Amino acid sequence: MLEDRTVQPTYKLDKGEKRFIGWHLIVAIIALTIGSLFGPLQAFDHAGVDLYGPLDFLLDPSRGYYQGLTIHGVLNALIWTTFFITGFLTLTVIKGLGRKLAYPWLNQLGFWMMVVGLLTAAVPLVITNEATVLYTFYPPLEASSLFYIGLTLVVVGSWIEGYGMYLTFWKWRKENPNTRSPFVTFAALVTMVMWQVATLGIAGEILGMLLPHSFGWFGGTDPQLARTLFWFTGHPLVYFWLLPAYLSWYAMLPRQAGGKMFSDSMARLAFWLFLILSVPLGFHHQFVDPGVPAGWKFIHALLTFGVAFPSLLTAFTVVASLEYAGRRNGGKGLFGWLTKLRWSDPSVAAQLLAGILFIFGGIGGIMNASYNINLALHNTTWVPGHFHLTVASAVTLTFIGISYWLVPYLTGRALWKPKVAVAGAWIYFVGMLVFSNAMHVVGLLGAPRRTPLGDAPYIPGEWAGHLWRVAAGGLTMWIGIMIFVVVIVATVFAGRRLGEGEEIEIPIAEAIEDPQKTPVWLDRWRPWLIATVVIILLAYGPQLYEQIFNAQLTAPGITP
Amino acid sequence: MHVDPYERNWMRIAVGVLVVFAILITVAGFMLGIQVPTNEARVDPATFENELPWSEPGLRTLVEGEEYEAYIIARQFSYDTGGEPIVVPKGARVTFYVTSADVQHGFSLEGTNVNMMIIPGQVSKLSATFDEAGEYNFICHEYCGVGHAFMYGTLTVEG
Amino acid sequence: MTVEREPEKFKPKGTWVFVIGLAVLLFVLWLSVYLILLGRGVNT
Repeated sequence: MLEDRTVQPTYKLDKGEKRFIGWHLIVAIIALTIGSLFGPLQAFDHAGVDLYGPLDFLLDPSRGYYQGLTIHGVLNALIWTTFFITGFLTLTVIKGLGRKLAYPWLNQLGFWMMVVGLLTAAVPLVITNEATVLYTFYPPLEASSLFYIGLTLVVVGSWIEGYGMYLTFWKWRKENPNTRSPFVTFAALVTMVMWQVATLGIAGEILGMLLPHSFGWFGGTDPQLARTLFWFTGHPLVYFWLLPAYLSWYAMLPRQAGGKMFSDSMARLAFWLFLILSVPLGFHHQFVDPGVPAGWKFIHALLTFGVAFPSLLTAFTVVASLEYAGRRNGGKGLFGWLTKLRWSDPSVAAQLLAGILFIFGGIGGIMNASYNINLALHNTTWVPGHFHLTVASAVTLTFIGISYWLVPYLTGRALWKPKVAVAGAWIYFVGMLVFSNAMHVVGLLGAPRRTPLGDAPYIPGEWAGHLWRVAAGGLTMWIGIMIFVVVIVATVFAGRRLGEGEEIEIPIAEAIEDPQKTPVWLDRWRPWLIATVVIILLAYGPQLYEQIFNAQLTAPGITP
Repeated sequence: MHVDPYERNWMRIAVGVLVVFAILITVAGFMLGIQVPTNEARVDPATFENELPWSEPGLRTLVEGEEYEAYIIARQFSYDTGGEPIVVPKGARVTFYVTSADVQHGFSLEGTNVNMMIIPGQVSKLSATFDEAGEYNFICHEYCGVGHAFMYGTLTVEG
Repeated sequence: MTVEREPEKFKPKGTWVFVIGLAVLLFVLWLSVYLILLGRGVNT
């Protein structure tokens, strides 16, 4: 008789494990604090107000906007995310399996490698102004070698943390051959494996082209190939961000809202689909590239519609879990349950608001992916409008929500002023709605992204109203982030110590149906891994072969 | 595997909507002529300006009043149209061939579906037909260095 | 709080209406940009 594993896992993390996870959050939240500082500066620039003056001591005045934008993108989109994710997933592996990490030194090695990488990249990024290349670092724009080395160490460090997680799971699997892997651990492993496969693109780009070129071993790079390799990673990067948020929405938020996980099987299916479909469609970021054939772009557009499917599935399964919770709490009628979802819990509120914003982010994403529709959208402000609804909302606001129970859990202190935390989430939500809507609209009117619009001579006066809404929204969002930071710092240093019996429980939702009844094919890795590799070979093989074997390393690097 | 009937129906609807989108983009792209750029040609960034057509960038007339070509070289921080402004009559169709002499740039022509990345070593090609007189800006929308915000040009349609 | 229903009898009707609304919103917004695209003309 299989053990009923649907009850709350009882393993208690020890101080060392909590500290390890805590370090991830410290780096992540510091990165977010610094990175988001540049947001309002950029937003006000768009409205024609230059606030960079006071930062002249730090940024190179002639390109303060771009250096700030690079710092904003790297710290928010790469560092805040990667460190939070690896920390959070370490927790779900340990707690889900109910055991210590198999080789804690391995995970530690990975983490500290990421820290060394971050500090290495920070030197040119912040101090010597030799990495003003934005988070996409497209050649021929060239940054200091330290920038590329630093990013490489961050990525390789994250791989190593993944290896520590896989080995832990493998040990558990040998001891438990017939038990379904706990969902929260399963989801973590899928995320890390997908990331391992995805990062092969930028690994090839940096180690095969950009770093040797920065050392002077090659006379130039092939910029089209660089883009193809970057976006091989760049699209699944967004799923590296999203899947941990989905993990919380599927398996934790329902419990926090007072309910259960609607369908363990559908959740697993969605994650497997993300594993096989996240990578083989990067050309949708390259729809208007000159060196990629239209036919391949079209195929990747169709594949992108394919990866939209598990997100649409997620919408149903997650909302159904919430409806279950709301009805259990007494909600009546078609929508009464919405108001019965424990909105006063800051963690719940932040995640629900994140989900609402993601509705618009996901819709915009499907539009970006629609092949020739991209002609109306590419490199306009629509694009950052879109990705603020996704990485800066679905992901960031969810990670903020998770922090609101995770930090008390790790520190043993009660969350400082939960009502302020809830207000902060709503402030961020409103700011994001205003900001992103304005960015989408003015983008359709033709405003370019990655441009200090306050300087651009071709901006028509009619855009002023939209650009002021960008500024207002951006400032409001920043206030929301600062409230989060203040609440966390206050909790860590001044939060009321929790007593016996008050300890925070890691919220893991019980599934409505017994996970042991989930079909075996949803818990076996080999077929899905094979499918992952095969689809990537089919979707990318011919073009990668073509672009690599016909590469012309003839475009010399130029320092911006 | 048990699937809730409502969820099963949702899966059908989701797939249906995506299929409709796939059909509509196929119609627009492969029947109505609204396409994304495809691989047109490669050049050597070091030497391409030494010979035609790139040694003489600018507007060329193929059929007076109807068909034109514009060879444009993007470089930090302007578009080289051979020193002559681009002026065409109303109703003209212009095919743009654009490449870069240095870093990655963008080329986005307002009011049209000409939106392209401009990459050293690659030639970007799309066209537009101008049914209304006026001034049309083409701007750089990919970060290319400190002067990026100032990088734009103007095409004039007379008539 | 007493549980109103046995889990097995839970029917996600509110969810159903929500996702239909989501599909409609997706379709309408997508179509509006498609029409903008068509309005900007042929480019080949």
